[in-house]
Amino acid sequence: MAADILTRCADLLYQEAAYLDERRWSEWLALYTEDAEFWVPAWDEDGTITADHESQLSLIYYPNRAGLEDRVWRIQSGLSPATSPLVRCCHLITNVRLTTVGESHADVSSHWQTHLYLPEKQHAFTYFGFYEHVLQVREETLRIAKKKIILLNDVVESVLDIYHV
Amino acid sequence: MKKQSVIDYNEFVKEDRIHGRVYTDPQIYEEELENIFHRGWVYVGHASEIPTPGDFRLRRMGRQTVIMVRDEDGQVQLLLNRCTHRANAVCQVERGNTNAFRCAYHGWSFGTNGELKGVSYRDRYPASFQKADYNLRKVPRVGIYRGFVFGSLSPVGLSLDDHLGPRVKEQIDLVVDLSPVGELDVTAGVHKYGYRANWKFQIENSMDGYHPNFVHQTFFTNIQHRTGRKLTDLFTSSSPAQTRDFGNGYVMLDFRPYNNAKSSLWRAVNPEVRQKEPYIEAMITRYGTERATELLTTAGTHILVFPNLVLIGVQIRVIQPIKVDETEVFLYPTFLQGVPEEVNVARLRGHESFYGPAGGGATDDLEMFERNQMGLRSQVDPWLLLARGLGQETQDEDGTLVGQVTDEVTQRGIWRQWKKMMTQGTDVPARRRGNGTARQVAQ
Repeated sequence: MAADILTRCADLLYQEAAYLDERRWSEWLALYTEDAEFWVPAWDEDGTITADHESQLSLIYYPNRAGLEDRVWRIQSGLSPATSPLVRCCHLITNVRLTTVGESHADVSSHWQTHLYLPEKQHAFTYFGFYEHVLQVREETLRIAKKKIILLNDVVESVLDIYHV
Repeated sequence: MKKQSVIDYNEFVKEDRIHGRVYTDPQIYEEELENIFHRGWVYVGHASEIPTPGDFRLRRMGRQTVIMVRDEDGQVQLLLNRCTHRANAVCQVERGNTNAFRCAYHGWSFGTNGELKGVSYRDRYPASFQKADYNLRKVPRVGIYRGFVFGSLSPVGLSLDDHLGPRVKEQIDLVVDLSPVGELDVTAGVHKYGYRANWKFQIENSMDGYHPNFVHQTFFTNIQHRTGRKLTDLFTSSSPAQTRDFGNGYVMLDFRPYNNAKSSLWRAVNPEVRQKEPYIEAMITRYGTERATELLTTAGTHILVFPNLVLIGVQIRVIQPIKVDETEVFLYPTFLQGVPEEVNVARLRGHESFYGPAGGGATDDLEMFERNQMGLRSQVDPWLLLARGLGQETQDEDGTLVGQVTDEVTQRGIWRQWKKMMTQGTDVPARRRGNGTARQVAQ
C-alpha cells in the first residue's frame, strides 16, 4: 500500500516537472487546487531561511492559485521581456520520500535541480534545492495542495520564475 | 589622493548624450570605484539593522568591505574588514552579534569599536609596539540621517547634511514618517539578485518614467485585471507626474501631482488592510491632520541617492558594482514601527509581487540591462541619446530642475554628477542656486 502511494506521488512530481519543461502551462496549473499555497522562502543575511511568510520576506508567496495564474498569463502573453524568449529547462527530481500519509493527504519531500540554458546568451546555469509537497489524494487523482520550494542558491541570476524552480 | 586620469570625461558626457564606453571600459570602471565609491558619500546600511550592541552587518563600499557594527556604547561604527596585522578578513558572515572580532589567522582580537584588545605572544614585538596604533581602521567619516548610515572613505569634503541638502532629507522624511513613531525597522529580510551588465543601468532605470508602459505592461495588465486600477496613465507624456533633479546626482520621479489629483488618505494603506482606522488615527495624533494627509497620500518616495541607494516602493535598494559588466542588487523591504501588523504584512506582499528576482515587474528591467550591455558591443555610433525634455525644464527657486515624468531630466542629473566626480570637481551642497549649469532653462 505504502509503496503504491509513493509511486503515485513520485509520478505526480515527475508529471509536474514534465509540464514545466514542455511548457504545458495550463496542464501544470490544473495540477494545483484552487486554494493551493505556493511558497519560495528567501534566505536572510544571518544564513537562515525565512520561516514565517507573514512577517518575513519570501521570493514568492501565494496563499492561493491566483498568483500562479497571473504568472502563466504573463508567460503566455510573450510581452514580458524577462520571460521571452523562454529559457530551455530540464527539471531533475530525486530522493522522493513520503514523510506523512493521511487519509486524503500525503506529505512528500524531494530534492530538485533545474538545469537551464539561454541560447541567445549561450549561458547554462543551475538552480537546486528541496521540495515539500502536500498532495491531495483521491481515488483517481492526485493534486497539489501546497508546494514549498527551498532554493539553495542565494543570489538569483536576474529572474526567478515558476519554471526555474 | 587625487590622481589625474588620462581619460577626458568631458568627451564622454555631453549635454544631451553620453558615450557608450562609460558602460564597457574596465579602466573607467576602476576610476569609478576610486572617484565615486571610495571618495563620496556611500550608503552602507540602516541603524535599525543593528539595534543591540554587538550587532553587525558586513557591507561593501565599492571594492572595500566594511563592518557596520553597534559598539558597547551604542554608537554605530564603520570598520574596515581587514586585520591590521597582515590583512586577513576578520569578519566572515554577513550578519551576527559579537563582543569581539577575532582574527582566525594569528589570534588578534578587536573590540566592536575597533580597538585592538588582544595580541597573542606579544613579547616578540619591539617595545615601541603600541596596541593603540593597530586598531581596526575606520571609514574616515560617518553620517547618519533618520537611521540611514552613510560612509565616506575620504576624510575631507562636505558634511552628509550639506551634501544631501533639504530636498533629499524631505524625501527620506516622507518614507520614515509613515511610521507614527517616526522609525523604520529594516528587518524583513533581503532579496538578492545579480545581472550581467553595468551598475549604472540599474540606477538610471530606477529613475526612468519613460519605460514602464512598455517593459511592465504585463504587470500593469495583471493589476488592472485583478483590481481595476489602471497604472499606465501615470507614465504617458500627458501624465502630470514629474522628474526632479536636486543636484549632486539626487534625482527622483515625483508622483505627487498625479496622486493629488486622485487624493485619498487610503493610498498608503492597502485597501485589504482591515485595521486602517487605528493606523490613520495614530498618524493624525502624531503629525496633525494636514501632515498626516500629506504623508499618507504621498506614501513614500521614489528617489536615487547617488551613487548606490534607491528608495522605491517600500524598499531600500542597494546597488553594488562587481565588475564593469556585472552588478549585484539587494532589496531590503522596510517595516514601520508602531503600526498594526497587517500594515507591515501588506507592505511585504506588495513588495514581493513587483520587486525582487521573482517579482512580476523588476525582472523585466534586468533583461533590459543585459540587452543594453549586448547592444553596446556595436560601436559604429558610440552615442546614447539623452535629449528627452531637454530645454523644456523649469527651475524651482531653490534651483531644482523639473521636467515631465517621461523626460530624461533624471538621467542627465545622474551624468552631471558622475562627470563631476570623475573629473574630481568641487563638492557643493545640493540645491545651490542654478547648480552650476551654464545653460538658461526655459521658463
